[in-house]
Amino acid sequence: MSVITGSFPPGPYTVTYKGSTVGLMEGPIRHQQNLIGLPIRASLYGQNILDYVVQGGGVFSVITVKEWTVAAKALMWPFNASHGIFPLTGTLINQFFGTLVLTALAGTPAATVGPVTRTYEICGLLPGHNIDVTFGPTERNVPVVVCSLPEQNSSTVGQPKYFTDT
Amino acid sequence: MIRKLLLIRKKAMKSDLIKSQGLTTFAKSEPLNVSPAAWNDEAGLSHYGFVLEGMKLKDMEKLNEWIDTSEDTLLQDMDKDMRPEEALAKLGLRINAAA
Repeated sequence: MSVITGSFPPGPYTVTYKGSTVGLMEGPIRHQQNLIGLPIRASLYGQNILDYVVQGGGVFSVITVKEWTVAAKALMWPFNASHGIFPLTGTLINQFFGTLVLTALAGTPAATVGPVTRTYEICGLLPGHNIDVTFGPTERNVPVVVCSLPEQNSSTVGQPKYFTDT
Repeated sequence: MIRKLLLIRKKAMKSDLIKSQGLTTFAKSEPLNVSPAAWNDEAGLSHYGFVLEGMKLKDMEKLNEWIDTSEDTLLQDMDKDMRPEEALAKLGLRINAAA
């Protein structure tokens, strides 16, 4: 009898934000991305979509932090050590963002199959996401949704790069 | 001058890989033993790194053809003054001195 095998990639990932470890988390980190495309139609074909014109997209991550570390707090609120202070109206958000790195735990299938690391160079709190922090005699699990801003992909001008896998 | 850091997953590394891809001329220094920054030294290596220098555009085209078809390789930009450690840090990696 032989085991049914496959290229299964489970394994915990540790997270650092702006160079410091976020600490323990609840559940897996969820990476989400989507592509935006403008549909092309022609009257001859009615509403059939003939093709799409690529218009970019978005990249997001959902991380539920359990600890109250410097990095976890920065992930929730990258603008100020005091969460009660908001950035000045009119400022650009990228100046507050930092690098988010996910690293597979050594010795796990995730470290073998990959990615070993996933690095989001310019990452931070998604505007519009409500930070939901509990105060009470229970675990303080805080789901944080972050977005990534693109860099210029060096090999092709005009091509955005949101993250890098190794 | 084109300067890149080539990373190859440890599981995909072969002794003649650099030579077979025609990169011997450009890989001027010893291979780097690379681990994720979050791993301790005893956890082992995840990649081998090669600093490639002196490539021309036609060399880059050939290299990109290989990189684009391989899941286990990555090219990272390096400015002329950038040390390999700095390029690795941008990817959450480091040189494993214990290897």
